[in-house]
Amino acid sequence: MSLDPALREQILAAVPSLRAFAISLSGNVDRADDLVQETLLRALANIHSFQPGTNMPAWLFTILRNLFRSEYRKRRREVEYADGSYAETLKTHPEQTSHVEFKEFSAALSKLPEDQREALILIGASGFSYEEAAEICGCAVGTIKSRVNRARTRLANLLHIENPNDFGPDRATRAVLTGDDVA
Amino acid sequence: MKERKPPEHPRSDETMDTRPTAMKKGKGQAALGRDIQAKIGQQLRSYYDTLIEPTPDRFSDLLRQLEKPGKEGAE
Repeated sequence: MSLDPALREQILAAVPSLRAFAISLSGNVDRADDLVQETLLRALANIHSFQPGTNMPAWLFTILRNLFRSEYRKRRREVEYADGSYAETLKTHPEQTSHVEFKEFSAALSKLPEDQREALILIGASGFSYEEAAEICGCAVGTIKSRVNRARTRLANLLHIENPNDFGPDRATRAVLTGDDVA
Repeated sequence: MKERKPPEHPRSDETMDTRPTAMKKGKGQAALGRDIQAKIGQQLRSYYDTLIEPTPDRFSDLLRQLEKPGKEGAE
């Protein structure tokens, strides 16, 4: 089997986001890397079914998402979603986001139901349209929209975002203003 | 007889005493205000950006390997 260099480039270009998606889904960098590897192998084995000119990232995300879903169903309770401690294993460390904020967000994300989490990430972070996300998840566009809405509402509750003024990067300032201790 | 003005769009002016967008949908789930949505979106993107790393070698190696001729019949 030989791979068209143009397709190879398209696949490679999609890997960083694909991997971020996998980490978001599984909450575990090692599992995410296994998922990406398995996705690439499947993609290559089925590359003839990819129509050149169509959406390579969406195709790869679909494969990964389905792999994750079937694996997830098998393991269910066996694998626990990580709490964000995997941030330490990342090579690039957040500059603009504090580590605490990252962990908080990751923990909140882990409390969302699977289908809401994937919809929110595809739309809000991976940059897919509602139509593309619907295709990736194999559901209706309206379903994606309502999952994203529910995910946002739940996150707002979990992160206590009720008033935009309550929520800013500067926790220390807030603590000073309210007299709370900075944990 | 007073002429009734068409209702303003709720988010057109925050000083007006309009129902918050959160109530727009009535029962069931509430729609979030735009600023809250924006905040969540911003958090989500910075979370995701943190996860973005250059493609690990194992994946580029994998693709390079498979490109080499002489690996016929991989199925």
